Amino acid sequence: MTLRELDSRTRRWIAIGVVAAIAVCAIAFPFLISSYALYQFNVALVLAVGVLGLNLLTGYAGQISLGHNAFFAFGAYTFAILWSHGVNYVVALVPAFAVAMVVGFVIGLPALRLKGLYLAIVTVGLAITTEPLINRLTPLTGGPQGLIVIQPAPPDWTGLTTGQWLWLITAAIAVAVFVMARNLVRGRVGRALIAIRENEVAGLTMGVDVAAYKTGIFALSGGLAGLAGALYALVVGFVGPGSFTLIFSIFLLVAMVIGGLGTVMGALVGATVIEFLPTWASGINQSLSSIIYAAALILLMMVARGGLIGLLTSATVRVLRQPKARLFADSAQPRGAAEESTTRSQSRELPPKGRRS
Amino acid sequence: MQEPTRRTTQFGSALIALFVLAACGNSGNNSTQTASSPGITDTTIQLGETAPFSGPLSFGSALPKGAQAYFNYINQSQGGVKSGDGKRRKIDFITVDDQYDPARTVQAFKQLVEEKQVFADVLSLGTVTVSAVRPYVNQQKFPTLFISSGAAMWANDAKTYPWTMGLSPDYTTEGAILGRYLTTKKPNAKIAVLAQAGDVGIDYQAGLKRGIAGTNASIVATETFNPTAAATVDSQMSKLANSGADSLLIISTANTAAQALKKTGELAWHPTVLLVASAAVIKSVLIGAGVQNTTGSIAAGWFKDPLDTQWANDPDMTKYRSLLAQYGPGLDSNDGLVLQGWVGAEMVVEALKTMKQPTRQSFLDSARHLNTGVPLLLPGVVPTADGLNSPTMFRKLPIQRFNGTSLEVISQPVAAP
Repeated sequence: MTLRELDSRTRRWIAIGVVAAIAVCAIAFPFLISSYALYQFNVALVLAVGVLGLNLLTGYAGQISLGHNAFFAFGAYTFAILWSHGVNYVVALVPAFAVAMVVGFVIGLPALRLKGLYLAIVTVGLAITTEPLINRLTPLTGGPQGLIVIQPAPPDWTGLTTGQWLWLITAAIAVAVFVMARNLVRGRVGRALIAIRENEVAGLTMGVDVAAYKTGIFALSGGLAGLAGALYALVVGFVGPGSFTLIFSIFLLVAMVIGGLGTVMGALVGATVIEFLPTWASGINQSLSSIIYAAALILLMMVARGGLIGLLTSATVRVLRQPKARLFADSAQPRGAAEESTTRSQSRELPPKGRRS
Repeated sequence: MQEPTRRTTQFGSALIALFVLAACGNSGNNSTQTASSPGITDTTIQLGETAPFSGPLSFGSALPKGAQAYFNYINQSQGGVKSGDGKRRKIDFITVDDQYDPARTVQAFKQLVEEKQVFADVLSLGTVTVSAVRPYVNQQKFPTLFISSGAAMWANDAKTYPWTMGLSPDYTTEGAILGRYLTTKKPNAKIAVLAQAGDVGIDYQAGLKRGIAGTNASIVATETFNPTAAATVDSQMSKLANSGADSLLIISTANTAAQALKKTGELAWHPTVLLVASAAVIKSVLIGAGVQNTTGSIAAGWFKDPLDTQWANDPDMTKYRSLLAQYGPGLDSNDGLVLQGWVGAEMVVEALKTMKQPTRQSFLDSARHLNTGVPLLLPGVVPTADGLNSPTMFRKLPIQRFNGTSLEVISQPVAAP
């Protein structure tokens, strides 16, 4: 008996059940774990929102961005400055999202003409100007000193700690963002983005407005990164230029690939891995932590080329004895996961298929 | 039709991954509270420190390594440190990497306070890093003491933030002492200032102004540079040389100071040079930039530079080198940061000795009233902390003059005006 053989109503109930279980876990979570672990999970959740934004752009639409640190920074500083000037912290999230979205839109314009690595270079330019720009705007941003972000106290009637309260805020926003992204990629927009990634000309022929989608997805991706940046400032309680360097963008890319390129839930898993892996590595040996971290990343990429979501999905499928994993390779199927399950189910003798020729 | 299945498996996969990680994340939290404050029992005391062990500033990890070597020495040769309550405790020193990124420092402190539940944090490295956690540690009443930073904010805001205290001499104090000394030698000094942008530069300049206030000396030119940029300071130096100044205060790290001093030689400009502690390094700066350019330079230091030949046969220095070889194998005894960590750890141990009860409050009181000197401080330098009346570790510093080979101590420690 496999899930596929169930009728559609049962399947819907299963899906609702899983979503409900996640919601219950998300709400119960902060009461079950230590405050420090909760903080780490909260940071991971915030990063996941940013990684999701990047994944929509890179994983789905195939546009490489190394400049997401800048969107994070725009969001984080917009939020921190507004909140310190008395704007309600929930309200301040909106302009943080909007400012980063506008920047994303502007950066998306060159993407209309530039492709692949050339576009990546443009975004590198954005990435490396972030820190000097923050330092230049010292009266506003605090320069190298950064800004301390006061964490809001939870309402008295809740009886929650600050950490638990922040978790509930970020969890609510993250769930909304993930549901939105899921709906987006499963429909017309998702197909259009994949068409742009796979073959722009073909997409154009099929009536996809490539220019609109490209700038649109850049704006949305930037906006989500900005929102994540604002939440990051809120959860960490501090923003500084050192947090938003080029290397931060690279870690977002790493999280995206580890989680699973072109998967929505992969963002959550990838962000969790990059949040916990360094702590785990330095727990083993402080001076070798970077090497252990790097080795773990290489190992992960060797065993899970389609990302952890790809690996777990194909493993689950195998457990469920799905006869033809190939059936999953429908149009909206994430690239990594599809390749992973098809190559694996075909033959172990075959050499691994290249990601993209 | 296949959609829900894929979705379910994806959700399921994500859920499994999260719980596996949750299980990992939770392990290792096994501290129990047996004494009146967390992190201390009748036999051990847990102290934390944050420092950059990785990233571009990872050389800073030499400081906690030096401190660890001293704690090893105390633990192994004396069985720990005996506090005012008569109990002897071994020091369990827990260091956390923050890569000198304040956002990571926040996480590192949450780990120390909430997960590891250590007794206190000592010697944490950096101004921007520790200032990011200042509201948090004060709200938690978590002692964050002997901070390896001379920023003026620790002392200036001591009433608002009593749980944070710096170790290094206050930059403003040091600047004032240098300025005042200059006016005794050159009452009409015209001073040029080369300052790094940011709080360190601002603190020192505030000190210099205080030091020369009420005298005929004046600041005639100020040039700043960005400490994180790779550019040289040649153009700044040319402008300063053309200002007609007869004295020069250099507020920078060693590399930039060496560059600036070399440039004074090229410009045939011979001002009286005042160097801040981070620039007054014998080998790389004072000898490296050419003794013809640096002889006569003035500094106000607080501990002995291991590369200064005048301490080559100093008994304290000799003892330090042999103990370091034994308890910190692999560490470079000539590295000033290792020595600074060792000296800082000695002062931490002195504060633990006078701690009356095994509580965080008692440790804070003890550190804020520390008056015991340790061997590797410059002659005459003793901590003079006096609660919130005098919230810095060192109020008086001796004047040093570079004589071509050594930074000779030419005065008793003097107080800042």
